[in-house]
Amino acid sequence: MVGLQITSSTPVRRRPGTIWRHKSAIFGLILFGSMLIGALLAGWVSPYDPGAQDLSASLQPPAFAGGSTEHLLGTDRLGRDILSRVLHGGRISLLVAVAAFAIQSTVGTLLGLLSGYLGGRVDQVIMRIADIQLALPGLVALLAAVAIFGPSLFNLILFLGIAGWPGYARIVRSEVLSLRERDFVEAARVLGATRGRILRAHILPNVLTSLIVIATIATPGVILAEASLSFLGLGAPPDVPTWGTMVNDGRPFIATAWWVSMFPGLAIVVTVLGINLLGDTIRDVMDPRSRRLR
Amino acid sequence: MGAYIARRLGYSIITLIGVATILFFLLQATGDPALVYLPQRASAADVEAFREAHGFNDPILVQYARFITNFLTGDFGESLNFGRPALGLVMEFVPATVSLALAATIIAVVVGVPLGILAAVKRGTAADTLLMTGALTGLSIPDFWLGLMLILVFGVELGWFPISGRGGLDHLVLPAVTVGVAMAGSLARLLRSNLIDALGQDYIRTARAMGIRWSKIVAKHALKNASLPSLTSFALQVALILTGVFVVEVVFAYPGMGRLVINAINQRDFAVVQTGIFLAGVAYVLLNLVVDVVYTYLDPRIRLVAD
Repeated sequence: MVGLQITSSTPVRRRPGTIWRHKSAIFGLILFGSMLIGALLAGWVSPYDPGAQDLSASLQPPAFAGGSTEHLLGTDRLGRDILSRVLHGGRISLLVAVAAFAIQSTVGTLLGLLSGYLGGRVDQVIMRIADIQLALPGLVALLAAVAIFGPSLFNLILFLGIAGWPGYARIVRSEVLSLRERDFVEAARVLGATRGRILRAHILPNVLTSLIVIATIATPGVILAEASLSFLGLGAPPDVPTWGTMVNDGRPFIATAWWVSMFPGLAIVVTVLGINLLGDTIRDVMDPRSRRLR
Repeated sequence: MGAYIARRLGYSIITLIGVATILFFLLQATGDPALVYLPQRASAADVEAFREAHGFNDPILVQYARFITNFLTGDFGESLNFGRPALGLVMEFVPATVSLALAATIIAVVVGVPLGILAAVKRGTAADTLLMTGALTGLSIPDFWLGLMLILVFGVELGWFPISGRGGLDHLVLPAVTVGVAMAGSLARLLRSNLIDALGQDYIRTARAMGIRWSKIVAKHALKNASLPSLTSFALQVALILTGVFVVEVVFAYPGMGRLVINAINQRDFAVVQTGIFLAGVAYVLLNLVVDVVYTYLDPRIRLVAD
């Protein structure tokens, strides 16, 4: 007999490898990583205390725009060093982003699992609540909530966390709906596994990868929302340096001392762009359908 | 089809009642709703009088029923600062916000559509990478900061456009560009990926094999099929990005609904805040409804499933 040679009918697909084969991911990591390191090491690398005022050196321009090298990025109205404040400001933004992510993903995953696995009434109720929340104008509703309950870092994180769960729940739900019918879940059910065990041991681990994907979409939104709220004066308390508050500080001087607003805003752009670039690649690598589109 | 629209309409009303419910419980969660409506300097006697007059001493279910009924009949209470019905007040500011949103959408379409098509057709080239990085950057810029930078460059340095208020079309340029940049970026990305999807379909290969010009294939066959899913996603994103309009209004001192509501938040004029949030909810729900119905109408496959 002639040996059958089995050839693949589809062309060999380019192996995605790790995300580090993608240039944009490396670029994104450099952008995000440098902001992250700056924020983490702010206490050591900052030339000045971020709150230290020096009224004799107020509104000094940056070194490259005619200022002295003492304040590389210039100073604000109270003579505080902008570079030091930008470095420290990253701490709040990133802290808020991480904490809000923890709340969003926990609540969203839990409700998405329940909604998808139990179905029926539970599913209806949870999805309707998600619809209702999505109909609220995000930022304004957040503003109102923070204004009513009082502006504090805790409230900010709490409300940003609550605001973001529907996105997670919807995607987790749709994953669960398809996982539920798979053979390995069926097998576990036949073997007598309880609902809780199936959810915990068989469905949850398979949902976790898509959480990473949603996180890369949601996190830039959280950072921008925190910055907007702080810009409007209802985010972090005024004595804490955050990028949004700093942009607002510079508003009255935009015509005369542009650096006060420009640098903290650039820090936001670099951070968010970095995460977006990383996120795009992670999505490509994890989701074969979107990889085909590249 | 009729049954489908009726069901979607039902969902919309449930969603709006839900929004009103959230606003109600947000108030209750503060401990004393009367205090939220009153200025902070109000005396204890004033507070008690207000409570009695507005029924805050009634059982909570009675209060809830009244709250929802009032909302659905268009009674949103009185603005503390303006001393007149909140609904009429907010409605006066709606046209300014709608014209800003429309101008931003026009900019997004004029910029985003050609860039998205170009990137899809040139997929994998340096031009594609450049365009998509640009689109992503547009999505990464905080709108309030972009507004300030535009004010600095085009208002202060070049003096081309007015930097605040509302007047002729020139007042609309900077705020509309500020909002439009993120929308354009998002639209270009959506259109590119949907167009690449469409270009990979069998009917495109058939058209090519038949010798139809490539430009005609893209314009007539691929674009037509790519625009529908792009439109749906874009419409939903518009709703999200539009909350950005509110902040941009503050930056440009543009007298729209967003600035009114944000000022009301700072001045604790809660009737105006509730009205603004509820109307934004109505706009979102209506937009969703229209998109769904139009989509069903345009795509026969969905119509079959829906019936």
